[in-house]
Amino acid sequence: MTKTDRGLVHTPFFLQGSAGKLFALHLQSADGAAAEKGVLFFPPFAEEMNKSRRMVSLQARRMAASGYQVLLVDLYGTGDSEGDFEDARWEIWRDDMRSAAGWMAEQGVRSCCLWGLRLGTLLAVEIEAELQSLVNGLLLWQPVLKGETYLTQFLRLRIASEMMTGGVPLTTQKLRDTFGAGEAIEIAGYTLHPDLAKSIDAASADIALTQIAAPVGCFQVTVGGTPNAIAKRLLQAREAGGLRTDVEAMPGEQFWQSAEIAVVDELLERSSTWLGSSL
Amino acid sequence: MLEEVKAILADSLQLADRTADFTADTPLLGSLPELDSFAVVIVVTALEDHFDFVVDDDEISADTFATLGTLVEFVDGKCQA
Repeated sequence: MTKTDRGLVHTPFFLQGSAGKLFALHLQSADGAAAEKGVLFFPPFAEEMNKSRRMVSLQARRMAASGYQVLLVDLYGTGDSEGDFEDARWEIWRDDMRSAAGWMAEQGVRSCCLWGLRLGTLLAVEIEAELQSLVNGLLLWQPVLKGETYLTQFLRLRIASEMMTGGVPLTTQKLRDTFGAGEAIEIAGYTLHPDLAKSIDAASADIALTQIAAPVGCFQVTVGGTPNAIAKRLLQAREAGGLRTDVEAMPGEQFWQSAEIAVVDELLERSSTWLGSSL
Repeated sequence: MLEEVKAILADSLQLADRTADFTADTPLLGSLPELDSFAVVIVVTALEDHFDFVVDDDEISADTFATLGTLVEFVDGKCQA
């Protein structure tokens, strides 16, 4: 059911994915023909998406109001899409996001920005290589460049929870061994399938980012508002090839993981400005 | 160092100015309601990002998070390593 609100048309629908139906929300400006410029969002992992919904929604509205077609998709096994989290696989997500990009092209999008939040960066980067003619920018929010580091941080949730309850001390290596033996592990309410864990472990944006010709905007919210080591590494990797890379850091609440739902207005504003300067 | 760690605690746990009176003896784990397992991981990650060191699994222990002082001591040790 399409809803028009303050000059924006919101169309929720189900997109056929490779393993089931995906909940999707399409936003565009109510005036005139479909825009040729679009933005496709790549969600972060597990609880980080729930924490981020407000920020993502606010940013998507701003983009749509500036004349972009915006598509938000719940990955298979998450949000209002079909499937249980346990059934989610990296390959399914990748195929589905490729379909989502295809859907945007069908709506008349000729120039698309891939907008990745946290782990979504790694999915976006993998797909970019196949969609080069469509992609003219990568907007990265607090990007994760190494899946292995990210998985370690996620596994720590389980270690910390054992620490709080005085259970058997665990290590991330022990948990990885469990995945290696083909067993799923429940972490912070999410049952992580060993295949998905292994794919995350193997994913890395390091090489791809040295090859992506489209401009990359890396936005970070940090203590003190200065870029951290990840942004510096990204900048270094792309500088060698003379590829346009804009790193912007600002202080604020780390909304993707904060206990209370938080909004960083400065990030919304600066992202919109960057998008306007890139495509 | 104490002030820096305090700032990271305040920032990552959304404590605002509640950390103003924190001293090295201020108990953390078990006394600070915000510090659940999720928060412990957030603080560890924030410390890694800020000071650019890597925390080992067995260092994520109740002893490390006993008081602000023990946490600062831990960070100090990691920075010198």
